[in-house]
Amino acid sequence: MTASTVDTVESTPSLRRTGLNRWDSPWLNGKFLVGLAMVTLVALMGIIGPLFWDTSLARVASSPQNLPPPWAPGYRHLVQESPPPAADASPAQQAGPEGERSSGGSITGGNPLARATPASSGGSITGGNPLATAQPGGSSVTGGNPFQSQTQAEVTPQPQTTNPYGFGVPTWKHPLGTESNGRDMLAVLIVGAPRSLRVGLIAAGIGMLVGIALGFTAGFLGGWVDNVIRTISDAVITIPSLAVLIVISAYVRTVSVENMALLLALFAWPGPTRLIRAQVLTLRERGYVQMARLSGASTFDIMFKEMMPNLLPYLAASFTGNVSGAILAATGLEALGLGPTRIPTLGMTIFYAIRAAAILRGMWWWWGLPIALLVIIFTGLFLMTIGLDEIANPRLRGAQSQ
Amino acid sequence: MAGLTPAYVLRRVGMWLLTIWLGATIIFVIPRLAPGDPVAAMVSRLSAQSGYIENSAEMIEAWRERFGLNGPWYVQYLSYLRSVLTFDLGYSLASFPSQVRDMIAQAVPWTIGLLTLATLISFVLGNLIGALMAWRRTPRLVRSLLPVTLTFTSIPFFMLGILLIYVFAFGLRWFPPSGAYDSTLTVGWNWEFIVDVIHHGTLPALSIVVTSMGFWALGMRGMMITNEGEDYMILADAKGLSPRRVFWFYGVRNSVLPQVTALALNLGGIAGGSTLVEYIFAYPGMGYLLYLGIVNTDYTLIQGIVFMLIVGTATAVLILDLLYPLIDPRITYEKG
Repeated sequence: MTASTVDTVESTPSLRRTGLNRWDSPWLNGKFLVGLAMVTLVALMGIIGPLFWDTSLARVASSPQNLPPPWAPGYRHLVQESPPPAADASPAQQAGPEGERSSGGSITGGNPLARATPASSGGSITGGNPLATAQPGGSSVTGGNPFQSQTQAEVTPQPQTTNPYGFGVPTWKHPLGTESNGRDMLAVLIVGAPRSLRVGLIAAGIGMLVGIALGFTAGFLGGWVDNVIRTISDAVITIPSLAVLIVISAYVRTVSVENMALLLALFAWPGPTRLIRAQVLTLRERGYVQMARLSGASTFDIMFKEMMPNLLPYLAASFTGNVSGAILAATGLEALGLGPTRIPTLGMTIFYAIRAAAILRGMWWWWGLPIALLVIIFTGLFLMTIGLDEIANPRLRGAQSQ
Repeated sequence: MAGLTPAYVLRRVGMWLLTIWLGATIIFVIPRLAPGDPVAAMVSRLSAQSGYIENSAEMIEAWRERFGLNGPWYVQYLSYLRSVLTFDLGYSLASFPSQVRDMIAQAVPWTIGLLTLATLISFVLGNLIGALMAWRRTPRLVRSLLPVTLTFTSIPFFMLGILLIYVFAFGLRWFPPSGAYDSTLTVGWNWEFIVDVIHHGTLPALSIVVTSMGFWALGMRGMMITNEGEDYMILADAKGLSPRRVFWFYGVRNSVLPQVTALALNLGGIAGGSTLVEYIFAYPGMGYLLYLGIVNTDYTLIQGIVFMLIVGTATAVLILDLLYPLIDPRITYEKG
């Protein structure tokens, strides 16, 4: 870069934005960098976190569990004040505080208070969504009758989100609160976040490799190979991957994080394959590729030395998109309870929170924090994808600076 | 009509069949690859519930017979394909006498209603926002406000659903937190019921619309910007056509076509994501039924639902593909 160009750039402010200086690399895209920073932040939290915080607190019952002591002041009062149990309530629910405690302090660590309301008349047998089953009649297959339950709640003036004893409220000892199974939320997040990221990276990485191989093959060879690859990838892309993954995990039941990533990779390859095939088809006729071919470069060299650098932004955008898709699918499976049960991941935390009616109990940190963390990850990846798109397609950049 | 050649139709229908066959095969293969025997697992679950079972060996045999698990794999496979083709999805394992087909038939209208509406709204809104974002004549104020609507793009459907429940169902109490209708109402086409269904469906639909809108907006913006520099746009301006006409008939018309392709490609993802939304909202569609199937380890139900989901998305994609040449007369698929 000569001094004269630098001068002209500095003299005309309008040019500086699009101008030619050392910082003009398209890779210095604001959105891309912000997104990268967000994802790195989460990854760093997982790497540095264990140095500052005891991650063994992420194990069940390593922190205070949220069972109310039966002698808690106002507990009996609250039970009596609650409306009479619904007609089909079990005898245990009518047995008063002692019975409540024995039935309420279950393995799920469910809050006995939640069961003291007419709420739990039926949830666990059908295993329905606790959000629904925490209200009478909510557990039926037809999805029940929330409206009626709302009118009931209005009859008894009682706030719907309650946490009267402050179970698991953030304290100095547990700065992000605890959940009912006695896990420290900060430790859960530190342990869980990198796992979610890793699932996404492995799945998208494998999908990418397969996609690069198939895409280049299809684009270069053409003919029936191209037809077969294109048809199969088109068919696979149509199949709702999450649904098939649900079948698989329903049978396999105990999955490790790595196996889950492998499962997700089964559906992560068609996207990159299509993208690379399309790009290869357009690039193949470009002058520089034909020049390389004329000068006797091998097919491998043309692919990886000539075409690959030009495909890089597209590949990177597709990769970040895939990572976010894989993490989304993983958290989806986990939120349905089909994830690794022994290891706390963000999705499993959401599942436990939903199952234990954390929203009703006002324990916002339990469901809110993993969601917040996931939103940071997803937003970061999303910004990276947009940024990479702009890097790959200069026209998008131009419109932004207008 | 020019693009809708018999060869093209044949090819698309072939794709449709291939997709369904692939899906059915995957569903057939998975249980046989999975560790353990589902029937034995079922019997052991039964015995865990009700103590020792007298002649469990015969029971396992009988069930194997019933579910067509006897014989070599190709016999099983053929009988499986035959039953799938006739939509004979078998009996539910968890709620035995009821047939999976009937259970699904009850849930399907809810899912289709919710999904179609939400997808349509988000497609229209998203494309409009994207087009306006790229349009040079959009007022500066509007253009600076539009990106705000994309804030939620990166949040998964179901997580926004949880947030919406927290804010609007438990916080503000504007909408019911779960279900599809008030069971005190009689089901039917009366005004009260329809209003109630809309009331219940708003939050689930909102969580899909708000989160998927941004995807369309971004794609549309990219297409509009690419089209902006085309000759026909410049000519349209030069001819003195009204900006509105240029926007709709020259810009949007040409940019929306790739979006239809994207819609066909993303239907699978939307269908999968909406199962989670239904689970969160206990909306009595296929997704919630699927969740119940998982909880009750009702394998036939799970397989039936997933098969129907695959058939549904494949059919939707087929319809879109067949409509596409009608929307875009430029494209002929002579050679596919």
